[in-house]
Amino acid sequence: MADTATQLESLVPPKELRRGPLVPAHRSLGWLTDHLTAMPEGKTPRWWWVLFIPAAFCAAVVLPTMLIYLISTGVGVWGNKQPVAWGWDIINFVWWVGVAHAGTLISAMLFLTRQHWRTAIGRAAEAMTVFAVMCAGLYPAIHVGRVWFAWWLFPIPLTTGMWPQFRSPLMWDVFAVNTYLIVSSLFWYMGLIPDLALMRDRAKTRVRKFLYGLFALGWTGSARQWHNYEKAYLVLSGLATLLVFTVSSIVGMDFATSQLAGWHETIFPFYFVAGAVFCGFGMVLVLLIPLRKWCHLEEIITLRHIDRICKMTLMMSCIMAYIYGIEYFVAWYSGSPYDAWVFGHRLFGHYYWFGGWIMLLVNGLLPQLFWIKKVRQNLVLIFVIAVLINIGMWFERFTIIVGSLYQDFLPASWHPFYPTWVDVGTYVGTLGVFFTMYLLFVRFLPIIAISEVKAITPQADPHHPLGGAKGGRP
Amino acid sequence: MNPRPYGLIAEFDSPAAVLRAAEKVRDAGFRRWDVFSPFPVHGLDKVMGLKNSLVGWFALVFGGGAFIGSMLMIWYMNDYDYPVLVGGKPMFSPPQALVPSYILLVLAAAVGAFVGMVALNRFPRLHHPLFQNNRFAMV
Repeated sequence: MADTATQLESLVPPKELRRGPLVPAHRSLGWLTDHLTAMPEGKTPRWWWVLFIPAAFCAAVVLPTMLIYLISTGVGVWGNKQPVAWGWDIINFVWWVGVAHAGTLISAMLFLTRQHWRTAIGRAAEAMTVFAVMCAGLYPAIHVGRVWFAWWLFPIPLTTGMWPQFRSPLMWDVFAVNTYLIVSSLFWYMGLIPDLALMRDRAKTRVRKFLYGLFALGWTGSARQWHNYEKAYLVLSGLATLLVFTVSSIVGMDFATSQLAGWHETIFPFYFVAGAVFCGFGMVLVLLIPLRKWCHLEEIITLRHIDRICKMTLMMSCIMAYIYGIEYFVAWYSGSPYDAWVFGHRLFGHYYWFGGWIMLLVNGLLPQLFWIKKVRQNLVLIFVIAVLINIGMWFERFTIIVGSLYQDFLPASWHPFYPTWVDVGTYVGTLGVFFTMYLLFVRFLPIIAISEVKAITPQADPHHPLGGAKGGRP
Repeated sequence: MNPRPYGLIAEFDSPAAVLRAAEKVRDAGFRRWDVFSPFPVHGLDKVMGLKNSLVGWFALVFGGGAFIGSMLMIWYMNDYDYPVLVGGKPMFSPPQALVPSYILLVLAAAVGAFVGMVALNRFPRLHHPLFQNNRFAMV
């Protein structure tokens, strides 16, 4: 007996290397099930209605009104005109695609790198991805002008004999965004299957039994199913990781292949990926900080999780600061007078100089506060910074798009850009769609991947004493 | 008349116990058996003697097919059937066709992985004899 005790002790890593359990207090697996299904199975809380009603109003009333007005009248109802032909539609498209990226990064890339802490936040982040891509995908479809011809973008045989032109990055975008939507939905849905089966087995009403049962596809949790499932999940996360790097790169190429100063930069694909992930981490924090409190998930999404997301945000912020630096450096070093003009005007121009400063200060400088541990533990401060990051990244896209367009090569055609109420309404509408879908997700589906969280508890490890192993590694 | 039993089922309270039991069942020579758990049990596929899942092959075949298919599609559309000269660029060049083909590879491979998972697990199977067992809800 004494022998085993010493053996066990020698296996314990030194104190500074030891990590606390991801689910503290050694909760039982049954507690996890009850706690994590409490929200979809319980009564609808009041905060949910308070948020849902305005969000649903924006989604069901504001957005359709704007779209009907836009489609029946024409894109002239937006602020877009020459020379600023890309306005809020493309700004918001890039912004929404960006928001989506962190979800895939958290769920797929952190899965591949075996970061177990992702299990608690992966599902919520993936849902964010799916809904944000939906909002993003709306914009390219409606900004083509004659929306009823949007299907010409797909390679469908037409009586005109025309085909899409695959040399254009805008064409690649069509494929990239649609692929991103389908792959991230598949990935999200596949992660949900075991939990849907759990919900089905716990369901009390016939409707719930039927719906959860239908979408659980008949999951039994057998080892042979898990075997295929885990392989498919691995393959899907590998593919989704590829998309993290491709989708925003292609969005960046939409800009970089043009001849416009401020857009014609080789750094753009990487720039857009980094910016997208950065903005997405901001949105993850905005969503998770209130949710963990309102859904009583403090023991699952711990301060350590928040701390790590803050550190990732800090890293992305440093990358952004570096890219901004390189952009300004190249604008000077290239010797191109047009580049120097555009970048000078970003900070000291006639219009929109505030955008350039917001972009530098909020995206490059403000998140540097996350170096301080006290800040990474102050939820209110993190929430404020995260909201500001989203705003800062919106202004970054505004500065890149409008700031480069409004003064083109012919000074006679210079014209500032002002958004119209339809621009604002459409954006508010997509925000409504996003939050409506997110709230429905929070209400009816488990926002934590229950089976994944269970799998990382010591009780689930057959080689751990709590998992029933004799001796073994503690 | 009693219906023929679907099978025998036993309940274990820890993953290690399941693992040890699975070893014994395997050594006893049973072939049509399975282990049910609310989470994947580490090492169980090895103990059960499961071979590498075929899902990866599904993804490879779907993805590879889509890549070759879309390269051919772009060549057919932009070079053969409806050539349009844009900026003196070649009608078809692999580097430019690579990007959309690569995207379609990812799309098809992901669909392939999902289809593979569904097909190999014989989904959708909305009713299973095991669901009649009340204690089965635990997994």
